[in-house]
Amino acid sequence: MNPESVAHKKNNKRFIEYFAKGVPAFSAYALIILIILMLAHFIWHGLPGLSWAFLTEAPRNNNTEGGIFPAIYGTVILVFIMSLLGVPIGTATAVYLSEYAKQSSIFARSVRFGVNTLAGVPSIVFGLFGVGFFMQFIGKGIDTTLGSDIWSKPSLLWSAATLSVLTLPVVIVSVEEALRTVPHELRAASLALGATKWQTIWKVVLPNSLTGILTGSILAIGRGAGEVAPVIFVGAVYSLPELPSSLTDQFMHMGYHIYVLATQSPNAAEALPLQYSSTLVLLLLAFSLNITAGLIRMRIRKNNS
Amino acid sequence: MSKDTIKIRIRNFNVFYGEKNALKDISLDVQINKVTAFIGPSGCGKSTLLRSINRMNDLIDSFSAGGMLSIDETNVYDPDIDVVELRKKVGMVFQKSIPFPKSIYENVAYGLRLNHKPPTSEVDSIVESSLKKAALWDEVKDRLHDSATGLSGGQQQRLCIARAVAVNPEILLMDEPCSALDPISTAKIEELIEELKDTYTIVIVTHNMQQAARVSDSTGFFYMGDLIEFDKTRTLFTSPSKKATEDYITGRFG
Repeated sequence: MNPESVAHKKNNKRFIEYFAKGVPAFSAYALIILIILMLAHFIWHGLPGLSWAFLTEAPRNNNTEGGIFPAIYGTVILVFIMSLLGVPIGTATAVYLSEYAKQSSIFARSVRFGVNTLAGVPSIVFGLFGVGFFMQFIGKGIDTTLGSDIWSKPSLLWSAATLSVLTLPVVIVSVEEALRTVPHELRAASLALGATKWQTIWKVVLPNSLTGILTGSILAIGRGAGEVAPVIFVGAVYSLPELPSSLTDQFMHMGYHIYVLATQSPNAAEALPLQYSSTLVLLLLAFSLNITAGLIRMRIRKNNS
Repeated sequence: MSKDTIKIRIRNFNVFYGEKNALKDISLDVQINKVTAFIGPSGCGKSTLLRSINRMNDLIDSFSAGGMLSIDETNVYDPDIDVVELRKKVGMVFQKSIPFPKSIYENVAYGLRLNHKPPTSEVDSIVESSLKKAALWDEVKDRLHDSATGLSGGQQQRLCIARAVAVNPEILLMDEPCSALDPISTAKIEELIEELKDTYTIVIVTHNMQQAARVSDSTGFFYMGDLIEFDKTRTLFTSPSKKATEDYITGRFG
């Protein structure tokens, strides 16, 4: 081999190295730049319309004036009820999968397959499922039994239930991951002291995976708060100045509100500033949720170490 | 050897992990209030036997056992045995001493509070006496409510011993309790074993033959799932009857 071709090979290698580093690095920077651009765009257009009145008042005049308080309130209460329904069920499933099920058993494998499938179902399908299962089956059943007519209608409760099914895979996967990080030795130590399996789970495993459970819940809330498609069918409404006061009430929803402003407004130009400001509020809500999640995790990690 | 000095009686005991015969026809007696050591190269089955005594092997799906292993003449593998009660009677100290991520006090109190809530004064006194038994009291008495994970490795291991003795077991199983410790901490634990044997029957698994020679009264040498030789420690280490034992203790293999 002559020295020239060696040098050539070396250059080639060097080029590949640069390339191999450069492409991922560029992708990473591009991601940050995208987020900054997006934020900047919405702050630029949305901030002028943001005011105390905008945050605390109800929409007026066919959504072309006023604020978005019912939508904020509706979204927050929706994800709150969703978490109450979904997090315990998701956590229990994760506990079963990680602590009780034999990993190779057909049942555990089918549950896992179900979770993965659920995660891949388009969200609009969940909306239709909510209509079919929660409203027309369970709701109707309650109405027939009680002789009422409120349960088979779109409502806050059925929206929350639908969303909790949608976010179940997120909760299950992240909680199971957290349970698996609890060292085997801790479980063994507890069992060796004469604790039953359930006592070990309750007193050792769950407290040590609290971070994961919280992270799972917050991820689920983030996902649930952003989903619009499922709640259109089962409870969110176009415009409703009154706040929901019971589980069977309908409600306004941030994501749906933005969709409505963008597509259903009688005067698109007039609605545009409102739309920008609403989007900014939704973004800020999402960011503050993520920051809260980060703070909680940091705090728990600090307490544990 | 009279019968009433035998705490654990093992006869023709076999362990299988799936198809693999991990322990073959083991028979030996563990004397009450003595230290019995199991030695042998990795994978010889010594830890498996130790974990069979308090049925910690039940946690492994493929585990199955045959033959007899009895404590005080009660077969541990009897289907009617309450495993939870058994484990209260047979404490265990692990190789990797991981305290619960709770305070020192809570670690020791953990086993006490499992089934009922004893009055605080009672818990206080048991925590104190257990920590004293584990020779840790003087080092931690001013910071009982600090996190246990802040203790040094040796202190953590003694905390795990305190945690185990707090539930007042009759037998203490130690699975390589010093393998992660420095020589000073190891010496402390060995001293402790010497004191604890007045109250408990101790079975210890160790890789360290000098340790077995120092702390135990009887020693069993295991190799590839067989119990090659079981005798008084002094006899086993000075005049072993089997060639394999001699080769191992003189460091020719393993």
